Amino acid sequence: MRALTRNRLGVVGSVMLALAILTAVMAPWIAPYDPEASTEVSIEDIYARPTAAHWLGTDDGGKDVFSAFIYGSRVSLIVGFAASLISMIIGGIVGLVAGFYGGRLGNLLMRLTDIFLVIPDLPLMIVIVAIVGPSLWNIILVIGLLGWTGTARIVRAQALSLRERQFVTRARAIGAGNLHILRRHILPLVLPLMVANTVLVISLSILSESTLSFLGLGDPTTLSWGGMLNFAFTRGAISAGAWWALVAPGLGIVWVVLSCTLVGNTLEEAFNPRLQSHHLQGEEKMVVRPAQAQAAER
Amino acid sequence: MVRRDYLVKKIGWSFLTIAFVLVLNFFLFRILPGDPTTSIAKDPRLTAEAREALARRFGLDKPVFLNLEGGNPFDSQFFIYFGRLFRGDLGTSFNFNRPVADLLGERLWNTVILVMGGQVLAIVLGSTLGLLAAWKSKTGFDAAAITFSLAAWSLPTFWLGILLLIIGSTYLGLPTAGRETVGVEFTSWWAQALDLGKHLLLPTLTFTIVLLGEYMLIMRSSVLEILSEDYILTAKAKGMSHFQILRHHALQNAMLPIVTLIALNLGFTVSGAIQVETVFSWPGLGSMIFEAVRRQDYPVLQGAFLLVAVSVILANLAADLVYGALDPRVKAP
Amino acid sequence: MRAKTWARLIPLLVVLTLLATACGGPTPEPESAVVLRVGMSGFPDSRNPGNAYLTEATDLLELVYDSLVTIDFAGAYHPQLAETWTVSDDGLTWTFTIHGDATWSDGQPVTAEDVAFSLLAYRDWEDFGYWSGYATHFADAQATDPTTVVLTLDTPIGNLESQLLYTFILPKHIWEPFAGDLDAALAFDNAEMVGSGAFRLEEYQEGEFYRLAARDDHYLTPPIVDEVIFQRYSNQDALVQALRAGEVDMITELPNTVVASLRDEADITVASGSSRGLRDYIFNLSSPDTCPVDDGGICAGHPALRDPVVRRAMATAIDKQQIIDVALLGLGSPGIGLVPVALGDFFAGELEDYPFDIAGANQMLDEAGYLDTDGDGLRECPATMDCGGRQLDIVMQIPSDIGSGPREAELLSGWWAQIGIRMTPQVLEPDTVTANCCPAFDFDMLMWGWTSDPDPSFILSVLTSAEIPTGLSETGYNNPEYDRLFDEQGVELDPARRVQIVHDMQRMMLDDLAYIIPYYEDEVQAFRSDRFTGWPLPAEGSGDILYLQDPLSLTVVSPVE
Repeated sequence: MRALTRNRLGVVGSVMLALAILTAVMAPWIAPYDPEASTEVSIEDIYARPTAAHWLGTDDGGKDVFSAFIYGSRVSLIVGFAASLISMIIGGIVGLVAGFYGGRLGNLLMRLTDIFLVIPDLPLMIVIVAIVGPSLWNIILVIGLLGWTGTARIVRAQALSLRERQFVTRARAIGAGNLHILRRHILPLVLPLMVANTVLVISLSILSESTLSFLGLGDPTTLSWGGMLNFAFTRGAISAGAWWALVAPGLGIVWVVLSCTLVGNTLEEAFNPRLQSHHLQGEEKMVVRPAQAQAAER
Repeated sequence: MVRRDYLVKKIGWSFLTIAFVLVLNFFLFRILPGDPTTSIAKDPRLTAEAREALARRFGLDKPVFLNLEGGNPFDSQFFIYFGRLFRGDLGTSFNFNRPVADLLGERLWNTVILVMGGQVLAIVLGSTLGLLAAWKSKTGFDAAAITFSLAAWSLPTFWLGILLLIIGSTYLGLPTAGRETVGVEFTSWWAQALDLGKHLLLPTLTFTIVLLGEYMLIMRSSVLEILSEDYILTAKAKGMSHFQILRHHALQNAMLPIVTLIALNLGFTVSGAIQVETVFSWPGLGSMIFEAVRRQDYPVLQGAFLLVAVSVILANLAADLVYGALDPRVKAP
Repeated sequence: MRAKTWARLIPLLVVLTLLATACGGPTPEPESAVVLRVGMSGFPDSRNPGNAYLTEATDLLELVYDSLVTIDFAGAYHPQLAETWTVSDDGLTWTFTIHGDATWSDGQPVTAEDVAFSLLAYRDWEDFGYWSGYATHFADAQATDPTTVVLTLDTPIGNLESQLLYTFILPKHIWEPFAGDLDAALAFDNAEMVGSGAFRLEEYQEGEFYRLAARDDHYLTPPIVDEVIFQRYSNQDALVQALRAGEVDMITELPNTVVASLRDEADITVASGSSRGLRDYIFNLSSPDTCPVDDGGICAGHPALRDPVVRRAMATAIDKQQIIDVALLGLGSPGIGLVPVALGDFFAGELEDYPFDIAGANQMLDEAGYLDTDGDGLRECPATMDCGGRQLDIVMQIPSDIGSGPREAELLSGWWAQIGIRMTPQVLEPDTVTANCCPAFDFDMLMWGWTSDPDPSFILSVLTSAEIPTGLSETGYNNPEYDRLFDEQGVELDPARRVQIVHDMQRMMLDDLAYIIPYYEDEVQAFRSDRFTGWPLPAEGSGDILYLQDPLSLTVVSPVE
């Protein structure tokens, strides 16, 4: 029964995420205006109320908020996916090496992971972006390079347990090399969990991007939801009563973050054997893990 | 008592982490683009001599790592930085031209008050909600509580803050900024506390909402887990009421994951503080970091980052120790 | 143990209830003193003038310190600490008679000794904030009796009053230990800010607020209000909301987008007037032969931008009114030269700007040989030039603190794309822009701005070749004729003749187009009309400055009864 509720939420999340991705892909067909096109703007067009012509009103540049919202989903999703892909690759490699090879190298990697896990992310992101400059790729890189710790820990735990499994020892006995075992036996089993975790990291990356934008460290020349919020804040949208310029991108972020969280949680529960079976008191820490990983990275 | 090897290991790693942060902090701020005196010199009309004088004043004329030009090899920016750190000297703010340590000291407690308030409220409300949801699991209440928690967790903190600011100020007459009504002579400590409470309400509420979701989910799953144990059946058979069972068994056992979460949440708490303080002009470390970014006040940014990182590391250590004291596996036999 | 868990929750519940009741609780008792509350979104960087660079700091300095002269909102100079003054025929000796009844905020009398000390101190401290720059030609200052100061100059200065405006008179009994020692002067925290201004600093909480008490004993302008509190809001929405909710009585700035909705509020007045601020689009004109290599010059600008024809075509393809509408919501006026309209006679309003004409701009480029030979929509340099074949593809760097910057860049890119020039905006940290700007000249175009002094000398100096190595020249513009006129206006003692020279310089500027000046910004501020009255507001179309936090305003406002 419990699993079913969970799954139902998972289904809701998948539908929400699919809708968001569909919107991003189909943007030119959905959006009524091209946000890049230059148009003649009069003062009355700035922060104009929602009308039939502009469903979500206009922004501080006199442009259609609905179109910007539709196109903005592209950049926001790209930031989310690209940054978490970076996190997944780094976290996956660190986790696999640490879990599978273990030893001194593994230990060192885990220590490094622990160190990065406790360093508060946002101040570090702020510092780095303030130094390297706020371009879209810098932001993706910074978010991705700081978001891998949770993935690394989960992957390591999984690899660690797989290493001792019978099929691995058997493969080793018939002379399979480490790389072979890693590629053929471990990775296929770790990958689903990695993917699940990555979906969770997407939501964190999107939140981070919007936060950086709010703090004035976003790239205002690319159209993302964070960028729309940035304009709304620097150009007084709320004070002007133009709630649409703030609410639309904000809800967009909530939508995607929520959907990724639902999907990620469901996937993780499905793929992580530890989460399903163990009910011993000693394994409680494991039960908490997905949320821990989120908390630490957010 | 906590096992000694556990204790030593945890403390050792915390100090290693701090050392790493110190070194990282040093190098992070040496890769700034351009001439660092540009950021210090707010006046573009500065002469070359004045620029050199500035570099001397901020110690930027020395070699970065090792002084190989003869004399003392440790007369370099790196070692001077560490030497000063040990004396509690975090440098001088470019913007305010005052010691960074003083600036941070003025602000630290404001952040502590805000963060503590938000955390405590989030834990209390979140756990209660989680407990109730678990108790009423499979009902509409449970589903609503889960949905609410997940949605609250997905909210960008600053966005929620701005919405609450406008609503709270327009409809409830709550103040929009600061920590007190400036220039008012309070007639009693009660009036002053009330004023502080008013200023704290909205920022604390923002904090609470974004934090409580996770506490709720953790509490719910731990309690569910415990309720499915066999001894709960026994207790039920013995005639204990639901309330008693929840109080005696579930709550007790769910404390462990909550403690873990508090520690792991600290990084996120810091991120929340920066946003909440910026929205509500709360004079804490977070708004100071924001201001430092805006003014490119690198010494303040560097000092604040250091302080925040070290606090989080130490708090993590504290949580580890508490955890050790609570967890039977780590406890000394 | 278990019981304790619940017991521990009780104080929390108490706190909760407390917070909840705080919501509807009574507000603190209103005081009998008249307190004016000002909201601002920045905060002074220092109480010591030598370390004070932000406008918020200048606001505070002007409230606490008096100078020999002051300036009104129309740009006319008036006596302040100096009651009267005379000038010798050669313009080198100035004799000031100061008010005999002026006192410092610590009770000591203000004497001619203090004035002479201050003027010399600024001369001797090089790089004491912006302020020592106003004392460069001071040769000597002597107090000949308790109320008489004689200032001698080493060269006649066309407009000495404009310099005396910013040499705040400091108390000798406080600052004497730092005379001639710049480092010591800069290290002084000046926490008390002992001054002779109309307000005295009462309380100062770094980055949060400061509280000023009115000096009822002020010799010239005792304020009507009792106290002024300046409070910082770290975001603009909170600032506007604070005014709406009546938490503050006046806000020093607001986004122009908010003006329309604030005007609908019954008890709020939105005021606008001129400011001395302007926006500029900067061309990199430095060529390899004029590059200040010794000062770190890289001079990597697009060569085509050194051709005045290209610059004129780009200026012709700009609709300045459209930029004013989008960036400022109409609250500004089209720019022509570097001297803003608020400088009165010095503004060259008679000059004809380039009319907005895309077809005309295209024709200019066609005739000059910049053609799109490969049909990709972008023009290339003609083969005869050293950039032959290179596309007109440029980057405009924008400091991230210009809120409307990306919006302005969007419009520019749109127009310039229609004349075959691609402009890509790049938003960077202000520091990075400073580093790329000058004297590095590592850019094609920059977007930036200036705020002029009341006197045009400073703003005109940024186009002189002497400022190329110092980094003050952002364009690398090098015109000996302009340099000659600049020197001439500096020593011209006939005001009418000086105005004429300044106009000639602006004509030259418009022809050569080192800068495109899209607009002069209006100052927009708002206050609660149900709380205080008597704010000096500029008359419609007068071109007067609006500055509600100026001593001129804060000393005359009175509470609404």
